Amino acid sequence: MLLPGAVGLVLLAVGCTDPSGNDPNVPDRLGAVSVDAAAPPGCTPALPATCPNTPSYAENIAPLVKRTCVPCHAPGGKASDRDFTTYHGLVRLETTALTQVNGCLMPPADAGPDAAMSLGDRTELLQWFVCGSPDN
Amino acid sequence: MSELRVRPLSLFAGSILAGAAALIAVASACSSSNDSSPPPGGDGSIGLTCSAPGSATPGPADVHCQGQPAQPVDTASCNVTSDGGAPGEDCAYGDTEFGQSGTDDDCKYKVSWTSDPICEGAAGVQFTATVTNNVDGSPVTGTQDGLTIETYIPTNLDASCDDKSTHPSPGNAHLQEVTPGSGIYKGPIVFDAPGEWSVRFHIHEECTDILPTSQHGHIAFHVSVP
Repeated sequence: MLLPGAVGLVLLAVGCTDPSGNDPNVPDRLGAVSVDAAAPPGCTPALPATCPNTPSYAENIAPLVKRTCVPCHAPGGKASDRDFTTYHGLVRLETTALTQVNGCLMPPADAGPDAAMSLGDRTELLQWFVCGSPDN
Repeated sequence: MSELRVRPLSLFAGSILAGAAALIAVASACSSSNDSSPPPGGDGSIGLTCSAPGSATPGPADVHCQGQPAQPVDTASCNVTSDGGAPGEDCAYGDTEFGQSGTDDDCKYKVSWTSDPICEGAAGVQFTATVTNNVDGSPVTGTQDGLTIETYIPTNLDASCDDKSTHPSPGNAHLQEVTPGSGIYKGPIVFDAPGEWSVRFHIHEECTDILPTSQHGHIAFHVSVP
């Protein structure tokens, strides 16, 4: 006669086991949505806190951008709407360049090894942006 | 005065009550401790918490497309390249907008967003953006990488052209479409400092933005982070 109560107690003991093996009391952090909030492994550039030595656009930044960005970001290129062949073209899209270089979204992986941006390259470019992106 | 008679519970009835109580206990044990409100984002995610979450920065409503025809887009415009020429006006983008909905700078898309509580933290705040075509209200889908996000604290808070920043988010990435064809995109956005942030959504970032009918669109919102 105590069977219904016993069944209930058994359910109490095992009722929180999801058939999929997940604990429903520990929600999936993001469900089916992919997590890409963090920078890719190995790509953690550091933004400078001060600007003791701002890189030179002419000597440092323009050659770096020419090698790593201009293969696509130039007239006739895959991303020709974002022309980085000139100083004005680069600073016009500065926040886009800053956020995508900092987030390691650019250069893209399929840009090829010649366009690869080392951590040092990335830090130098970010430093120039953060230090006011002068035409120096 | 009538006499009330209380009949003792039979053993059977007692066992039924015990079972019911146990089942209620099962139900409550499998619920979160705060079932009176839905979980942040409504998707079971664990949101960041803070004592006074931020919000969309209040301000004038977006009206830049009022009286303007909706701009249709065309997939054939996606891979058009430019032969060069001087870049356009100094501001590459339209005004950063206030509130949680608006139309992109070229009047191609309508975008609205919601989020979990907006708090500072490396785990990121879940954002959900709904994007529809301005022409017919259909969902915008088929983007190559979802919505590309740019999140930063602008140096100049002038809403008309916040094109400089010394503080990008460490987690700029993408919002991914929740279900193919839904036009609803979701993902984390990281705010790692308090301040007035800008969050820009790029739609069809994979397309060049050369022809007026390009699918590439962008819209940015001010977000206050405590």
